[in-house]
Amino acid sequence: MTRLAWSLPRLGEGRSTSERLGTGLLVGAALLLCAFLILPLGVLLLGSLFDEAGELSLVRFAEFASTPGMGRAVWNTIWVAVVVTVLTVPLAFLYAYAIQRACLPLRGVWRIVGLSALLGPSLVGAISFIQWFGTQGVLKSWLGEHSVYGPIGIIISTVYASFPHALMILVVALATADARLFEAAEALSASRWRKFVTVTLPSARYGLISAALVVFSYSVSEFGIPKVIGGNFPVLAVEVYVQVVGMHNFGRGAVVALLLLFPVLLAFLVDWRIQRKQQASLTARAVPYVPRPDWRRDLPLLAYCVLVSVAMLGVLGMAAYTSLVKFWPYNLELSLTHYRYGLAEAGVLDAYLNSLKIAGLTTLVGTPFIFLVAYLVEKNRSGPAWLRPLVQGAAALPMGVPGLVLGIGYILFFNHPSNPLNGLYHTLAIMVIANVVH
Amino acid sequence: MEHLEIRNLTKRFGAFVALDQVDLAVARGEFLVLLGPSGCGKTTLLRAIAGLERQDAGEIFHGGDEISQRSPALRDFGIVFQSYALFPNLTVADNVAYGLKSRKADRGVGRDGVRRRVAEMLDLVGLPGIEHKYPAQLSGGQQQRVALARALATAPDLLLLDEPLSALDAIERVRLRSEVRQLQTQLGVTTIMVTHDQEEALAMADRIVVMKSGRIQQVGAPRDIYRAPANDFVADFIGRGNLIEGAAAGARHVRMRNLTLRCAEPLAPGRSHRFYVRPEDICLYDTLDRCENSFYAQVQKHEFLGAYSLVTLHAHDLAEQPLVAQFSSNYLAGRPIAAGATLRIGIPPEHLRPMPEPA
Ligand SMILES: Nc1ncnc2c1ncn2[C@@H]1O[C@H](COP(=O)(O)OP(=O)(O)OP(=O)(O)O)[C@@H](O)[C@H]1O
Ligand SMILES: [Mg+2]
Repeated sequence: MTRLAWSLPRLGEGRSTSERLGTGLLVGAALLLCAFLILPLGVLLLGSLFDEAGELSLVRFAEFASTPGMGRAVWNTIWVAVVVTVLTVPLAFLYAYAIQRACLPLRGVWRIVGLSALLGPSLVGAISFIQWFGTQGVLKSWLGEHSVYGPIGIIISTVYASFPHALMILVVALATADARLFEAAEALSASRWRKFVTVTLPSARYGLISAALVVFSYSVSEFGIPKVIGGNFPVLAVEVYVQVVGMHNFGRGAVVALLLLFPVLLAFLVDWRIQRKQQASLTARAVPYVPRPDWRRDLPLLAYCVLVSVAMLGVLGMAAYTSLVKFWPYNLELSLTHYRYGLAEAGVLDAYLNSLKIAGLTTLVGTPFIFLVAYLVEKNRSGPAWLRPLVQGAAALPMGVPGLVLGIGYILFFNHPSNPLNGLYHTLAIMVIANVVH
Repeated sequence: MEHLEIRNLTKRFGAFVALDQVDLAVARGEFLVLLGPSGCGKTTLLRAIAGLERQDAGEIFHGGDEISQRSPALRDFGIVFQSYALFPNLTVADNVAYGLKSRKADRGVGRDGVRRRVAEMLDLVGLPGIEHKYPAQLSGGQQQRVALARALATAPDLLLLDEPLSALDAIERVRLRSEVRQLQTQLGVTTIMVTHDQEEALAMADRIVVMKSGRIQQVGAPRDIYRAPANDFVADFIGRGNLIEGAAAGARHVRMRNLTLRCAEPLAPGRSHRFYVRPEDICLYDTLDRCENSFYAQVQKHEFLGAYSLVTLHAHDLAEQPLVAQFSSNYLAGRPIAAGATLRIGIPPEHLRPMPEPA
């Protein structure tokens, strides 16, 4: 606070109007981020720390810990997330590697197909896998004795749904490489594998860790997939949903939400630490690496891309096919009845339009806001020095915060009768804000 | 056959010809410097020798074997890049040992052997005991020394250096320059270095190759290149010089405007020649001295540069364009030279060199 007091009076002196404006905007952005991000998350934290009577206590945590089945849910959530991460990251890395570091034909096509899972909500994968491997599934025999309902289904669906997220990060991480290092390694007679381990992997290390953290957080906070394909397999995200939506137990919901937030905080800490290390090793002299054709590398990678693409399209195709079939799996005649029913059914059309409206407004409001903040952080050298990293950090935070957690934070914060922003609750605006922040 | 022989090497980038039928032979143990302006193809030639760039035509022989089609891994060389290119995620020790661990033959050395070799190499480049540091913790000069140690660790038969000193500051550059040359002499490793700094080339090279637009202009010892440039480009590129025109008047004499000067080299009578005179070869005499090849000139400009002075003179009897002379401060011994003064200067016959004219 002393530093704020120190620097504020100096803002006006001898500075151009544009600089003052820049500082003002930066302060404004900081306040907005505070109101719509930090405070709700803070309330969430407090909500979990106070008991019914308003006393500071860990009662809610104790309560939570003693809830039957919670231990199982925590354990399930963690091991499923670990397995998903261990599967998704290497799969996506190899795919990104094929796109960026090999000379493949149709690179653009592989890239789009690889990202195709983003086209639908996360549920699409789960539904499609039920069609493929479920009780009536065409490929049920592939799973042998195992049922797709449960951890297996959750894992493959989450791998499918989180694959494009990891892919996006890794494609960027592998986009630039320093050709000098490859040449140095080449000149020192390093084998293909050694070059990969000593040059490729270290330069993509940051992207790999980011991707792993994103996939892990995704898996932990995803509740649609376990709800659809999880059978009786308890996981935390579904538990929050049950507590908040089903039982209106906000306090316990807050505890679980906080647990979901834990991997995110961890992720941030790690991220921040690597970023500092990374800075030292980046130099401006880097020469961009351009791969040359080499069939011994390109052919296996092409085969891999085709394989993954076929699988991805298979999942998407089955979902599309199912939506067109009359009554799967008993009447496979194609028709648009589902669409007509689905759309006409009370509320669905409204909900659909609302979703569109929210998405549109989010883009409209969010994009300029994001650009403005990014611009201010990057270009504006005025204002107190501590403000910039603060805004930067706060702006990056929601990337990792599960939407569900933010949602609960919002409910607790804006629903509070004494909050001056209470009017926003239950409106379209709050949905838009939530989306922008996210 | 020479130790390294390049025949008819051509490299194109699209329609652009980066190397145009280059022929070059390098003797064992020689320190050869490729010199030329930016974009003349020095790096391309070096990279072709390394195998990092594949030529469109021509052959390269190393120790009698044709290596033109071999991958870099199968050629026996060490390379140092302008920008160090150390592996940022590896320690100095791992960087230096990188090549040792690649070669199957050296696997037998064992971990102790590798460690000893690393220590030995770091000693050699004057940086003992920094094994555990990371490249980012070193200065530019230190990084380049480590890069040199890395390139030499496998005891390569050929050392390739691409502007190894140009990223360093002036003092460090001069210091490392003599270290590199000393190291090369000590190890006797055949070395090819690229530079566009002529002073560096003159100071370090056994022989200099001057290039322009993908072609070799002249190959020779630093002294020969400096004293007797093969063409205008080399004359212009290496050091300062004066070009004076004159017609041969007899086998050893040349007529320039109102003067007849003697020339040490034989001339084709009747033909006109261009003569190349280095600024430091112009002598200063007493005003009344009448010795051979001397004449009067008027001082137009005088630049004092510490160890020497650059004097721009106009000799009306000699040529229309001004003449640049360089007098060392020692030589002047406190004699004042002021603009407008008239001096008696001269060009000794052995320093009046006719340029080889294209036939
Ligand atoms: N990969 C490439 N693709 C296209 N053109 C290239 C490539 N590499 C080099 N060139 C061109 O070939 C020419 C010679 O390049 P080279 O790097 O050999 O020059 P250089 O003599 O080393 O110059 P400098 O002193 O600036 O390093 C340049 O005109 C350059 O533009
Ligand atoms: Mg170069």
